[in-house]
Amino acid sequence: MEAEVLLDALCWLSGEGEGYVSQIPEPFTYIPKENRTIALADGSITSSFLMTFGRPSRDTGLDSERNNKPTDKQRLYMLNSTDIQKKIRSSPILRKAFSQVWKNRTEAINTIYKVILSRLPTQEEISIIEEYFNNSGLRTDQVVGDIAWALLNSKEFIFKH
Amino acid sequence: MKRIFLLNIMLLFVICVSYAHSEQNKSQAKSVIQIWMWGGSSQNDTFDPKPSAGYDYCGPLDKTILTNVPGIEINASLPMLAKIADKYSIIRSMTHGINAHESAAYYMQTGHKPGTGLVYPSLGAIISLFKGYGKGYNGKIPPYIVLTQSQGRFSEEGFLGPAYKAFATGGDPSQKQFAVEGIVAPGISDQQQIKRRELLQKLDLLGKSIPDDPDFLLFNKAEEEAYEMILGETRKVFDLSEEPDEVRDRYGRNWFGQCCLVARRLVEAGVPYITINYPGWDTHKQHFQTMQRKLAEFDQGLSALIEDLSKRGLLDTTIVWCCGEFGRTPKVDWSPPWNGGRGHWGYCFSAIVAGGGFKGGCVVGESDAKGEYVAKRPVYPEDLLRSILRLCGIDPDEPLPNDKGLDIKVMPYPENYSGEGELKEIMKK
Repeated sequence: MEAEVLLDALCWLSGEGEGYVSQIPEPFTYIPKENRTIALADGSITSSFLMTFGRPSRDTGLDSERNNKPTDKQRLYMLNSTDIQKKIRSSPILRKAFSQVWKNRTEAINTIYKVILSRLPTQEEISIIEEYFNNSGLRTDQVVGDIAWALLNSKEFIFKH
Repeated sequence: MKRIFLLNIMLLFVICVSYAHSEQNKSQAKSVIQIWMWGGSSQNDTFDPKPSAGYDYCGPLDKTILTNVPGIEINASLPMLAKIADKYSIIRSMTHGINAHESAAYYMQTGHKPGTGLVYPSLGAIISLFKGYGKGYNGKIPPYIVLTQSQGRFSEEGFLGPAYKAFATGGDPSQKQFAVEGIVAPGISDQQQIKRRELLQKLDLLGKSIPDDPDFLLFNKAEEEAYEMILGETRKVFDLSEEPDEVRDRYGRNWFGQCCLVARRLVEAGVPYITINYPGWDTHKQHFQTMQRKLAEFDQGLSALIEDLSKRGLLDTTIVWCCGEFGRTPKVDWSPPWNGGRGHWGYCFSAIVAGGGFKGGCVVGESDAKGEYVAKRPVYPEDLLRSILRLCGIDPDEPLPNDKGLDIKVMPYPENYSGEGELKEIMKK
């Protein structure tokens, strides 16, 4: 996924947009949080996320300026940043799945898969996750958080969407 | 005969040049620690006291203390730094005349005044370009680290691009767990990290179905590198529980003291540039109350750092430089609403430098009787920054490589430059 698209997806999940401020001083341009990152018209408005994930500065207008190669800084961000942690915890959509888990575990897993990968889990995936529920020794809320985290970090989410 | 004589001369010349060259490599600074007193600290209350200027200039901080270097006195608020004055030098004539935080902070760290249409890289970005990846550094920790919060756009990579951006750690090293952004996640145990990594690998059905896709291979490699930081040896640099209690106490059990300790550990790990972004010096109000609290922790942390680097034999190859973007008004404003505050002052202020080829126990320049203006040897930001680059083995007049096609030198003197140049008087070479 390209930087802007990935960030929009993560923001949609967390229920809150980024909100941007122009770098060029006074008067600052504030972009409302409802605006999507893909709609940013000004190439000079950026964030450390966008730079980390290879969004170009639009100096040349060439496609080759964009760098979509995975880097360890990107992986570090997706795997272990407080940002991702917060986005998973505060996500209104995931909260629904988190509360379902007490009534119907399979339904909850289905919801998380539909939200993040837009498909239902296969039987194999369900059994891997069931095993994680039973044998990881983690609390239920930690387990559902980890499922969402694992799907956000999957190649399917990052490369196929 | 003549030919042999010439040959001898040439040989001698070659020997001299190669000797000088190896000498230069040996004494070159490897790391730089920048202690950035964000907001601008008062010169009068630290390294340039003026007790004879009276109460209106000194307030309650009107005592000086003799240092261990005959002839050098500093403010009595810094007793521990007074004991090791032979290890650092004081510049009492820093000047740029800018009284706005943003422009002054930019000038002090890039060596350029703003408004040229280009955003210049900061010293940290330049050093991570010349001494970072591919230039002898191959640590996992990024080569330009900021403890703990980023300074934002006043110390950035400029036109060099995001590869030279500072990595801000976040977190607080004086807490039980130093939560370094991306490396140490608060609330997630190692056990959970290991478990969920297994879950991630098991659920990676797409990856397993196309195991030799080149993008996936790159992705896997990046993930391994990331986990080397999350679960491997790298994060131990940030784990202060490895330090004995006496050491942690000596640095001071507060944010600044423990940042100094982390900085030393980063130097040991070979990181070329470390900034401690030390906020809270913008004391328009409550100035003396704030000074009494902050100078005590500053004195303790910085003296511990310099002493420890020296004891471990690291000071010869590590530059420590410490100042804010400007100084503060020498005359105290007792009137409301300031009620004893000091404003911004870019006309004359102090900085200190230690190690990495800077001599200790010297004073550069002089301010006037009240510490208001430069009396002798003005030192401009570019003079200080060029000296640091020079000691790092980087010629400030060589071209600055960049992918923007700009024909720019590393840190040239500006047009109409009228200063006295690099700090030759305190540089060992």
